[in-house]
Amino acid sequence: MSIFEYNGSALVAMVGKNCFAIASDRRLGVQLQTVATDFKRISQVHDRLFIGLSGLATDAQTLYQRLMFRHKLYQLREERDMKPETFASLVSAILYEKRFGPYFTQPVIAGLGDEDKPFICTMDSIGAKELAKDFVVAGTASESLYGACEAMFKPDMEPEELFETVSQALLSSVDRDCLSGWGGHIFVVTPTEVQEKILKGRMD
Amino acid sequence: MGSDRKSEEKKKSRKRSPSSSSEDEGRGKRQRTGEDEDKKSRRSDKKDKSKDKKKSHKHPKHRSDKEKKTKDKHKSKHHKGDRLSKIDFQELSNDDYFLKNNEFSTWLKEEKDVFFSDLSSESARQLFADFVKVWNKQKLESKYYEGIASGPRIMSDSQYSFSLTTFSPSGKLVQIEHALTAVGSGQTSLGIKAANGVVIATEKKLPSILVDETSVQKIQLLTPNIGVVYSGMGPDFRVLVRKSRKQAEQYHQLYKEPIPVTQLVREVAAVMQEFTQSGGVRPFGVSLLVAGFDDKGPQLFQVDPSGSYFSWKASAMGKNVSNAKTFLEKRQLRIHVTISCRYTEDMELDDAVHTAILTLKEGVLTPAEIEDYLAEVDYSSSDITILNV
Repeated sequence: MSIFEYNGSALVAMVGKNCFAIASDRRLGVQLQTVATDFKRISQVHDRLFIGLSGLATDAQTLYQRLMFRHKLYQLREERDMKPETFASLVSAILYEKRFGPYFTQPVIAGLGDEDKPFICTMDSIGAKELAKDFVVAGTASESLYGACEAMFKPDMEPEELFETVSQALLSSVDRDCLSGWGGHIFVVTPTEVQEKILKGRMD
Repeated sequence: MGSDRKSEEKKKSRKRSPSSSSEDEGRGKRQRTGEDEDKKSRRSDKKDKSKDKKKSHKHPKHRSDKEKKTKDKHKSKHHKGDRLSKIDFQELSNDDYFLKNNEFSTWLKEEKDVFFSDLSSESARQLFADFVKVWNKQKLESKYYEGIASGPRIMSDSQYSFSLTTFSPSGKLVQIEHALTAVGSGQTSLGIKAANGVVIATEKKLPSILVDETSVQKIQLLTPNIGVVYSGMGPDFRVLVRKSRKQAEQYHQLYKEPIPVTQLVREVAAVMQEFTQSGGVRPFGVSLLVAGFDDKGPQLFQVDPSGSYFSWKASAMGKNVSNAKTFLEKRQLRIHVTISCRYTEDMELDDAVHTAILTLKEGVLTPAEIEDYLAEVDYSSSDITILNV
């Protein structure tokens, strides 16, 4: 078993029209045993920037702390929030610093940039960026998420439809993965507001 | 036998070394005091050396250590007497407090076992009065009269780990003020911010017409959108340019976006500040004008040797600062008036270049000549154009 699969996770981010959604499952397990059913993998960096960290939970939390530290420092120094692209480069640089003893986590970054242009991106555990126009996935359920998203994605969705699509894709994917599940945690971000929703799915 | 001799020679040279080093000190000082004295002392040095040779010839191999010691002592005593008579003696008064500070602090350390820096100025003055008395009675060792290059003013081993820039009692950092003087005597440079761009300019006065003018580059690019010009010491400028380019590149590496002007300016200023607080370095003898164009539009910053930086609408530095600044202020006022009646963006950058040349060549070029230069310019916005006037 890979160390990436120790706790189990499912992460997805999807782009809509001037908005994006980022979602994760809520399970924290130790291999096949479920430890928590309200685990948070997605965190808000600033008003319109989110990061989800799949993989080993301990590394995800440590990396999250380092990223928040760097972002706060940046905010103080430059008196502005980071652009999503800039933040992605920072995450990539921090991951590559540990090239030969990496954080066992695969991040998903989603944010609204200048002129409300949505940005989504994922990378591997040593910081190789993968940019996408439509959706990105990560975690133990990534394979089934790819299938679900490819089938359900439509370009330029409005926030409501985007929420529906992401929810369906997430719930159907985690049902085909025994290491992730136990409901979902979804953020839909538009230029004016952030909607946070918790989904119930198969709770077993 | 042969090896014995060698070791003996080694010992001898070691023995002699302290006296020779004191000789060196004396010599160094004497060169400053006057040519005549110098000649005298050199002669005496020669004498000493010839005596030395003779002695070593007389007793080539078998000399016991004791013998040597006594000889050495004898020699050095002889030495002293010789010296004292040859150096002309000057009476001191209490006003020579600063002049004879090195001798005084050496005396303090050796006779009173205190460091000069540990004394209050009052007690130092009092002790100096005692020192003057002893001096005037000619009761001090000869080295005091020969002059001492550096006195043990502070705890000796930390003496060299101190920063050059140490606060003077009045709260000033004299080294920084000297650096500002170096800037003030450098060639004039100036910068003007316009609505759609920023201009930096400097005089490119060559020391001789033989100099290849392409090799003189006083305006440098730090990133494709940030340029810098200096007044003061050229070599110091190069160091700063190298450091700031590296900083800009590191920022780009990390965030994959060009460094904002304010950030780069802050980094350069941090470097300059570091050199006012570190040991074994001196402050930079340059002021910089950093001009750049980023998300916040055109920007102009001046960075000083102290590490302080300011954002300007227009600024000048180097020779004739005050004249140039007054000129720029008048011009700024005039522009304000023009803006209120008629405002076009293109006019602005154009006018800034115009003003820059006018300020630099105040009274040298006629407005018509400046128009000729301006005709050569073709700027597309957020591009950098380097004009040679």
